Amino acid sequence: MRFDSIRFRIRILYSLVLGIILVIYSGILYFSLSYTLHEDLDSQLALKAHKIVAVMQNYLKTSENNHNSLLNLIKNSIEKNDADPCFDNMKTLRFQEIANLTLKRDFISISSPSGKILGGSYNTANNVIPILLKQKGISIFNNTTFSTVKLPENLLRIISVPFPSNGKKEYFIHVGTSLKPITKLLHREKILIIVDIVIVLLVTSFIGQFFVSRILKPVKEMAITADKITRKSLSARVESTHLDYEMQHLVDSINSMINRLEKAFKHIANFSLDVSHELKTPLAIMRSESEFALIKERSHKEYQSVLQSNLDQIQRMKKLVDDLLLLAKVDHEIEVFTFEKLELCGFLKKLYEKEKMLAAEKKINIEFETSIDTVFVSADTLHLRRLFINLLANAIKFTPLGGKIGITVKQTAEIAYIAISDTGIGINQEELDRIFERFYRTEEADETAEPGSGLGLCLALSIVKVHNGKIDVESTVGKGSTFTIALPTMVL
Amino acid sequence: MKNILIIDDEPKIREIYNKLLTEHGFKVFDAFNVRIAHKILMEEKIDLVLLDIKMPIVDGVSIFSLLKNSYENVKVIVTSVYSLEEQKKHIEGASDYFDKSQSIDKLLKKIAAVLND
Repeated sequence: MRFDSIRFRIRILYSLVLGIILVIYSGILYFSLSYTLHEDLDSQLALKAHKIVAVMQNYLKTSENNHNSLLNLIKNSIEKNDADPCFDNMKTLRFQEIANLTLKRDFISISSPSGKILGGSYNTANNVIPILLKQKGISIFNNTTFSTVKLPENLLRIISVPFPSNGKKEYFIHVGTSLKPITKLLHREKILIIVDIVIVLLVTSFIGQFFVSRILKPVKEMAITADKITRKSLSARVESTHLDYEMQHLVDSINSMINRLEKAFKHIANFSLDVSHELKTPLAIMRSESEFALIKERSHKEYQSVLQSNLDQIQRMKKLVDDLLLLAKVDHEIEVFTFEKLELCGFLKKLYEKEKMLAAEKKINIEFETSIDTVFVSADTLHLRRLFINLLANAIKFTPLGGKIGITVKQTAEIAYIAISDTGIGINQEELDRIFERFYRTEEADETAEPGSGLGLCLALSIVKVHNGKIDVESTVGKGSTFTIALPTMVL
Repeated sequence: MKNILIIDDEPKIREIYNKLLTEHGFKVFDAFNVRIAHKILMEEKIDLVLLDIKMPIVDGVSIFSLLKNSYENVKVIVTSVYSLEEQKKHIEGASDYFDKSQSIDKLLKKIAAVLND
């Protein structure tokens, strides 16, 4: 067991808290028991003493009896026996009530207020009363008192009661009893309590350890699972059955984190695969074509065509690298964008003039249509131009000879809508969901057309997002597609 | 004369391989999608298919299983710019695999080996 472990610390803390509670609780129990026992003893002593006093006072009420005869009577009866105080012979003398008190083991003594013994039971060893006075630090008895006298081998609890109780206090009746039974009982109780506490602490400590181990088990499993996870193996998950709510939550969090990691790694792996595919394709073309040209002597025109083709491929690679860099910037370095106020209609009109010429080569007619004069947006002109050029290039690419492309601008209170529609081949529903994915390519309209990089629409989406806009696409296979871009307008 | 069908969406690759293989005495057909490939396979007696993997809509993986199911005698060399290891991960059981960024000499040797087998 490690001393810096949670398990150890919880166990110690748990035992400590329980120990303190048990000690306090047992202490209260012990002292209240002790108090009750002493109280009980005192009240028994008082009962006995007062009974004796009452009987004696009764005795004196008879005219022929006087103090001397009473003293003699008592002396005779309590000193007669060499064992316990005995009032047996007093039964006949109306001392029945005293006899009924169980005075065995008790001691009775009668003294003057100054402690002079006038008589006492044998078991008192007559010097108890002076010791009592000495221990109390007084010279005479005054009133009813309770005292504890420490004898070499015993503790005595004594009640001293004046007699007669009313009027002049001529004598004191002392009734005492040994505290040994009580101290014995309390001592036994004390040991019992200590043993109990130790046993309870040991047992709870082990039970605590068991529970803590059970609670911490998922933590151990998480560590084992985490150890298993490497870049190549992200399939491990933490077992999540029979868990406490908090642990369940933690385990779920960790599992979903691993899920995200796995997705991210997969995404990176796919991305790398796609990138290398797109970069290697032009390389493969250039190598194959150059090698083919070099197999034998070729004509001047053939060499020229190979060089031209190589240039095209170099251009293609450059574009791909540029697109990739731009994509990385759009996604991770938004600060490369510089936003300024841009008048959208004029901006699009310029683009339209330019694209009109390109489209004319394919005999495609582009129309620009808007009912508004000016609409302002906050935009990065360079990237926004890139976005519309990409969309228009796509429209031209997928629209057959003699087709039509329309650019329309509309505006609501806060949003400018730019729609680019074509009469091209259209996109089926299945593909519509995927065209904005990186490197997703659809089949070319023309079999001789060079495939795009698959990044165009992905970039378009990213650029629109940076502008807080939205891009939507609607398409009917065979009829054409419409890409609609919504951009928030600038409040002037 | 052996008939070879090139299935690849990259027009330049089709063009170069077409010229190369024609010069080496093969009768060459090419297709840029599964529809055209299927048409050629039905009309011509094709001995060998050079099959690209990454193509839009229907990729080489699907075309390969189509070939295995319907044209089991046609041999297939997978030709892609993926590494050979990656190609084998995508398509299992082709006659051979060729990385298009390697030398065309290698491709010719592989074609000869597969056809002579």
